[in-house]
Amino acid sequence: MEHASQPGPAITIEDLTVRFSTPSGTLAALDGLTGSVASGELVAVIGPNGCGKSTLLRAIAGLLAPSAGRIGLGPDGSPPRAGDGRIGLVFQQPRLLGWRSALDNVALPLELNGTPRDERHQAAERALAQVGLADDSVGALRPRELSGGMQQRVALARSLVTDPPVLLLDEPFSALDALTRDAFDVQLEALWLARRRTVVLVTHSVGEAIGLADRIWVVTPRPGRVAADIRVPLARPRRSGLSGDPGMAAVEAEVRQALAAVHAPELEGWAEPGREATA
Amino acid sequence: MRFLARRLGFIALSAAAFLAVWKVIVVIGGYPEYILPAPEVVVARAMEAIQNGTLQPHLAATLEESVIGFMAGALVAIAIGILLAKSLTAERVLSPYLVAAQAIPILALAPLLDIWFGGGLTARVVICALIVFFPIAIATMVGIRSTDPLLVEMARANGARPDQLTRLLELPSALPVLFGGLRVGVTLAVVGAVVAEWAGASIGLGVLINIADRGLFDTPLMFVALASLAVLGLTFYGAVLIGERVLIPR
Repeated sequence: MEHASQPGPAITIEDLTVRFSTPSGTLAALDGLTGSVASGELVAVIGPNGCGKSTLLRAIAGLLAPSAGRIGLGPDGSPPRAGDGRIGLVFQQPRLLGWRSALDNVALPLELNGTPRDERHQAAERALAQVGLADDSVGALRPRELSGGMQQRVALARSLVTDPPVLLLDEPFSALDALTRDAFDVQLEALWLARRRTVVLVTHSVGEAIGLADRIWVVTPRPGRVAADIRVPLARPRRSGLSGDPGMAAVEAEVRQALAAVHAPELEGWAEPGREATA
Repeated sequence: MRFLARRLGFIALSAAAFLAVWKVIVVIGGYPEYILPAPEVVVARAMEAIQNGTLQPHLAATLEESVIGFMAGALVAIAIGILLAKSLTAERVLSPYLVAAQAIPILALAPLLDIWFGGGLTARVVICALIVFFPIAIATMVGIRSTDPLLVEMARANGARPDQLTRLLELPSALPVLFGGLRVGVTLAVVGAVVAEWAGASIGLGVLINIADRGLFDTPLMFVALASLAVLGLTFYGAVLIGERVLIPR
């Protein structure tokens, strides 16, 4: 199924607040976060540690119920429900089932929705091919027999196997080395260009965000809100030829400025090198 | 197969060493046969008991009781273990009874169960099932509860229903712990069978021990019965190990 870019938002978030009960009281992870993502758009979410980026993805995926506000998916704006087939989610860790082959791991979402065995295996093979694991032998291997990068590609294939219109990526390549990560970003952009799903990518890397996203949301420290919504007006494909691009430098400066503004409270209290900390 | 052959080799070596030490003790101690018969005397008595058909019916009865008792006890224990793991209310309600039942020695409970279940095979199977139940139920509960919550979240994100979560994620991930419980349970099954036979049966290895002890002072036959129990226990344990190997790929 081809997902052509449709007019109108694929994800609408209005005044989203998510609070958690902790032993020391209530903790607000997100507070009044508002934004929308157009169909076929790739939005990167960037912000300091603990600002609620992953919480935002879990709420969009229907894994967390909003404490206040609402999230709507698709043209009808219906709220998400975990596993309703509209969302593919890739986590920071591959989260593969160690006792299953790579192919059976990829096929898991189809097994859960009752797809017959042959059909789901064919779909899983196609999904593995999409992420560059077309070799038959990879599908038969168990997760522990795969490198970290291959495991994460299998996890990506699992999120693609049901062909969901929305893909949520929670720092999917953060555990990989810089070179592998760059190569994966190139592949991710090519994958997205070939089939323009709506993508929300959580990342800590400004370079990755600029290299991949149409827009970048800079999120405040907890409780998270969108402090800046920065458009990235750069031609595609980007990942292979951005270095030294003046347009990229301008966007990077804007993102870093927005990040510095929200990061400032976090950095307060650090002593400068060579000086005594003052009371 | 290579794993099995290696394991059997170790068992054979260990058995040979045990027999050698036993023989040395008999020779040095100069014990009479009715106190401690030598290994070759026991082997000869075993051959005789097999040839005249004394051993087989007792062995078959104990085998039947312990296999059916273990299967029944394990099935119920796994089901209850899943319930305990998934429902805090079930755990709070059932746990005191389970622990209390476990705290009462099965030897003390067996005569009552024998009366309740009519003294036949059913009574012996129930006693056997009861003794294997606790370690397997607890292992199932602990195994399921130790499922990685990140995997549970992944499965939920992919639309897993509660029954699918249990079948496709929690039970497979609990298997290593569950098999720990099955290993303990399967050896207890033999103990349960003997206790049940002592509580009221006319056949079984437990009964054969009683006959050899009280009626005949046939200590070599008693050793034959004990060795048969040990072989049964080892065979059951080996079967569980093979199941573990098949179901938990390394």
